[in-house]
Amino acid sequence: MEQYISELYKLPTAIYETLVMIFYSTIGSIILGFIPAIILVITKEDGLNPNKKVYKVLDFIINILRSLPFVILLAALIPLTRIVVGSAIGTKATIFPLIIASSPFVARIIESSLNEVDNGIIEAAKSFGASTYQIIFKVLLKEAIPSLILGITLSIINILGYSAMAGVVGGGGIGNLAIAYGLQRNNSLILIYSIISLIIIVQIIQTIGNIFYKLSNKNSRNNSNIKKNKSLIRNLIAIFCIVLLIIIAFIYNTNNTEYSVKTDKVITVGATLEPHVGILEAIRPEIEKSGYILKIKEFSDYTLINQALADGDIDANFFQHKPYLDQENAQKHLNLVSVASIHIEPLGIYSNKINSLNELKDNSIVAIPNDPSNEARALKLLEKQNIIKLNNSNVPNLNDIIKNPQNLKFKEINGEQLSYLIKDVDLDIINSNYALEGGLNPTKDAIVLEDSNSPYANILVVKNNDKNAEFTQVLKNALTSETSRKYLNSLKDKGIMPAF
Amino acid sequence: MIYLKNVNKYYGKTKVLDNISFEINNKDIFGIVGHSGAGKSTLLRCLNGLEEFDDGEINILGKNLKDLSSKDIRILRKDVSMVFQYFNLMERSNVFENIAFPLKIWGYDKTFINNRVLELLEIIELKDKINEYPKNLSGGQKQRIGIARALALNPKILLCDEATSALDPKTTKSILELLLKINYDMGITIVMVTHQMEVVKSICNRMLLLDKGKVQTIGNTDKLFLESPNSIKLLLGEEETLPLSGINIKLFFSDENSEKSIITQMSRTLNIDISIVWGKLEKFRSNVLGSLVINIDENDMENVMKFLNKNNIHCEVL
Repeated sequence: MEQYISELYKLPTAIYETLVMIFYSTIGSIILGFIPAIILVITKEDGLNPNKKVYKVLDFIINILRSLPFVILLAALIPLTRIVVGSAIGTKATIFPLIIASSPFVARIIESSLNEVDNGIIEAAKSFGASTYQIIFKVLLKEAIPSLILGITLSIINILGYSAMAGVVGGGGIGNLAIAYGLQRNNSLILIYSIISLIIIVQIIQTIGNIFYKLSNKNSRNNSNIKKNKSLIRNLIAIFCIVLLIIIAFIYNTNNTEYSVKTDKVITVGATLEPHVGILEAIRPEIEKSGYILKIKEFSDYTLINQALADGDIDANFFQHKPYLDQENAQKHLNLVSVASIHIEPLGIYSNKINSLNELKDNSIVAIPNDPSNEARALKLLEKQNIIKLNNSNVPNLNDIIKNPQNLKFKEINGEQLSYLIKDVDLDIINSNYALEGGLNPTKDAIVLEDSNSPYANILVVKNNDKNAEFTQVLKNALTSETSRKYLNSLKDKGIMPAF
Repeated sequence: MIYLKNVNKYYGKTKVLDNISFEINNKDIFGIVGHSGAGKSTLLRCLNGLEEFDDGEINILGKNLKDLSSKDIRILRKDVSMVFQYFNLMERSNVFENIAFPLKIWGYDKTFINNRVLELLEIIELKDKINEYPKNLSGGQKQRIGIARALALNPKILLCDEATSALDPKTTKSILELLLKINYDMGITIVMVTHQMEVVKSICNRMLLLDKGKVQTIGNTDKLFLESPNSIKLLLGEEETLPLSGINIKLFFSDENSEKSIITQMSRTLNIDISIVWGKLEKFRSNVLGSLVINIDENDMENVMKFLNKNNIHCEVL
């Protein structure tokens, strides 16, 4: 519980990040969405200047952009983001794809608002000799204001939804906090507070939207005085809340080093949360002793971290094992190297029936994880114990067994279920985290555990050029220091062990 | 002032204006009447270029529309302004802004606009509504604003598209009086599209009857009504479908007898065939009254008249 509460300090920063993202993305997407919306309205069939081709092409492009899932757009836009923003990770780098993703939506909203304006009014303007330009700016936009306000309110809330994906490129925000800390780290307190913050923000945005709608619409609608007073109080409360929220977010944010000093002696490390960020936090003092400042970029999703390193958005990363790195280097033509093994979450062989592999009988049933990488890992572990022999496939599966003298029967099973099936099989090969979930203690209960030489240890990775850089040394020394070991040992009950 | 020669217009393959030729003179109040769908509004919109026409010639104020660029047409519209059936006022602008709109478009300076709007409000007698919004105005008031707006640029021609069709009879009368005043005081030529015969009768000096895109009749209103009421009645009236053989009798139903089943009773009592050719229910104040036209054989006429008189049914042989 205490640890839960201590992580709550992240909330104001996250709120600040979310508000920054929403603010700039809204402005950006309104500007970007406005132009196509106007073109659509002008060129539609009964528009001011009908042009079927232009209309259809634009309509098609907008539909395509709208059908792309935001996460995919986020990844696809990385090169462009880097050119425009200067970096492909962080809050600022999230704003650009947010704008691109939401402007087609905003374009549709503006289009439909403008289309709502009574055709008769447009005809009247025409009949007095108004030009197309005058009709758009002096008639259409003016008449559509109330509807535009509601539409933009809708867009802002839509952007808020998109911003939850910001974690993929280390953009932070409330959504990321809820996913990365609340869900993935199982911190229910963070989850609840994040969700409450989101609800409050949505309410405030909608309320402010409604206020402006009412103000803009008061002349074209009859309103009663009684209603006015009540809504005035409600509005004041809403404004007060948002001001408070912004102030709190700013105060907390100024204490956050992330946005402050910029020196050459900054090491930016990209990491996934559990337990990598924790380990990095633990060795922060070690790094500061060497005169460097450690900046940690948290990623909620690991698919882009190696690319971010190769592109120079971060100096090092710490989230993967060697086989994954090799695969990434090969597939994406990266030139990244491992400089140290830091910790391992060992795969273990467990059994309820025997106490050592010497007791293993012929024809025994062996359960192994069914996902390709862990299956390979399990088979390699058995090979290391001289129980089976594999060919030299990189990612071996059951077909790659060339010798099985004891005629073992293998069962491929979902990793999470393995520990619950231990009674049903003779050998059960389980990942540490799942073993712990099933009430097994890796250090005490496993017959055999992967050792620290395993290629599946989590490694510190830098660019090949930086292999011998001073910061690499500093980082490596800190991560393999006694402080680090001490911290890792404290995570034993999570199945984590030092690998150095 | 305005003349059209052999004007044709198609919507796809349908001919909506069929070889139209006529002339409107300076200071006319010219009525264009016809059924809905006859092409009246389309014809009117051709006059200020809101609609294009396919061939023929339209000449307005000495300019041939086909020769004008889109910019020239915009300039022409300063002299040819328009009043609409549903007023088409900007909901989010007040009375002043609505009337000032054409002036602002053409870049007049502020003091001029102020003075002009006040002048126009004087003419339409709505000076006290200057800051009101259209939502708070009655239909008649809105149409007055619409007229003031159309007059803002000092046009020479005013096109009215069913300008009184959305108004009650009393308001219609006051709007017509206003138009008459405008025509008389300012010498503005007015072209009115309407389906209301009363409107044409009360203010138009000349009129044109349009049917299925064709000019049926054109001439001075009084003369047309006196000389050939049937061609007008036939086109606009209800008796269009009366059979030519036999006798047509129009029966009027009052409150007391509208519930009796007169027709079937008569048919049974006299043992004759009666065809009902036309019927209408009308509301007068709070009563709903009806009239019915029946067609009978000439030989049965005497008996039928006797029966109707006995039953106190007011009737008229057509």
